[in-house]
Amino acid sequence: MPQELLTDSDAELIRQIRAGSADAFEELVVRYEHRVHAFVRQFCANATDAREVTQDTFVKASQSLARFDARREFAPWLFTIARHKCIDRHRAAPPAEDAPLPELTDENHPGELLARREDGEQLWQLARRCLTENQFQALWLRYAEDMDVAQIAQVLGKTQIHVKVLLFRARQTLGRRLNPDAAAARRVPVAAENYLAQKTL
Amino acid sequence: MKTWLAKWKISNALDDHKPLPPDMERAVAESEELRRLATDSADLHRALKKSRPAPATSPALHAAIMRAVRAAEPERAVALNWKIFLARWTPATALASLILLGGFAVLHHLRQSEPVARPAALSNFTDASSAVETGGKLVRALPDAALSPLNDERLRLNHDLANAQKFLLASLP
Repeated sequence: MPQELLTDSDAELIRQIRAGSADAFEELVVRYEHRVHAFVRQFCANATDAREVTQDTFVKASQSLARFDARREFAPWLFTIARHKCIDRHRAAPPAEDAPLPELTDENHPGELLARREDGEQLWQLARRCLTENQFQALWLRYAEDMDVAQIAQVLGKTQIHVKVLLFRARQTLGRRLNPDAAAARRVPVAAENYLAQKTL
Repeated sequence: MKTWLAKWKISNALDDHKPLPPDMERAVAESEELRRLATDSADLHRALKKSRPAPATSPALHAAIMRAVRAAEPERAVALNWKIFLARWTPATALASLILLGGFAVLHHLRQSEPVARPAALSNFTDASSAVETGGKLVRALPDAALSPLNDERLRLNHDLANAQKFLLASLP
């Protein structure tokens, strides 16, 4: 693969792909394959499914790149495809009701999760266990992909206010799970949350 | 509700990468609950950012993706060929169809407007047919008209010959 491709922006790579460069597409795959795989892995029952969904995502991207609006950002567009592929996979083969998630080793001491860097993975596992799918996707895109609210809204196909509500609820839930004693003392009024959610939907 | 709105604003400030507005700063400073919430939210925010999962590197994944993309390329090429074919020929076909339809419409319109001109056309036709009929009559009458004088002369000659024959036969001994 030519070295100059490594420094090109996504937009420049897309321009080259449209001009017929296969190397440019490969560079785009290199940039995003692990990020997309990490995202879809959270929603697939097993590693094989995740790998297939990742492949399908890039196949679809290569087929649809001609219709991609180059003025927009590539990452949210690609993650939108990945999310749709996950939904398709779920429809084709719904996961078992009690799909096993890895057990947390020190859930009884959640405060330590925040303090130790190496426990980051467990923090995400906790999030996966206690958040709804939309909340978790919003949280993942916000922190793992460093997307802003507008980009997350594009990927999830929701309004920006709805995304903010999802993030707010996700942090509230996660905060309560990490610090149950404090949460009991300052529980968010559910009625107020529902009121805002209804306003935004 | 007021506390809940304050929490909502604290959460929004994190998502919008903006500092808390001054009135919220004051509210947080005055309320122990809000102060704790702001601190916890900021801690969680930092922890989630720090714990960003490192992407797993796998050459097999890359190879599998590229294989799948290349395998799908012929389908894409066929689809693209069809697209090119359609893009190239659809406008031409549509234009030709429009021209044909236009021509047909004009002819149809002309035919519909013919009744106004029909008497003239009909009289022309009658004239033409009568002319043809006259021509036919002429052609049929022409031999008689042209040959009848010669016929009379031939009959007279025959009569003279017959008389001459009789005279000669009578004059023989």
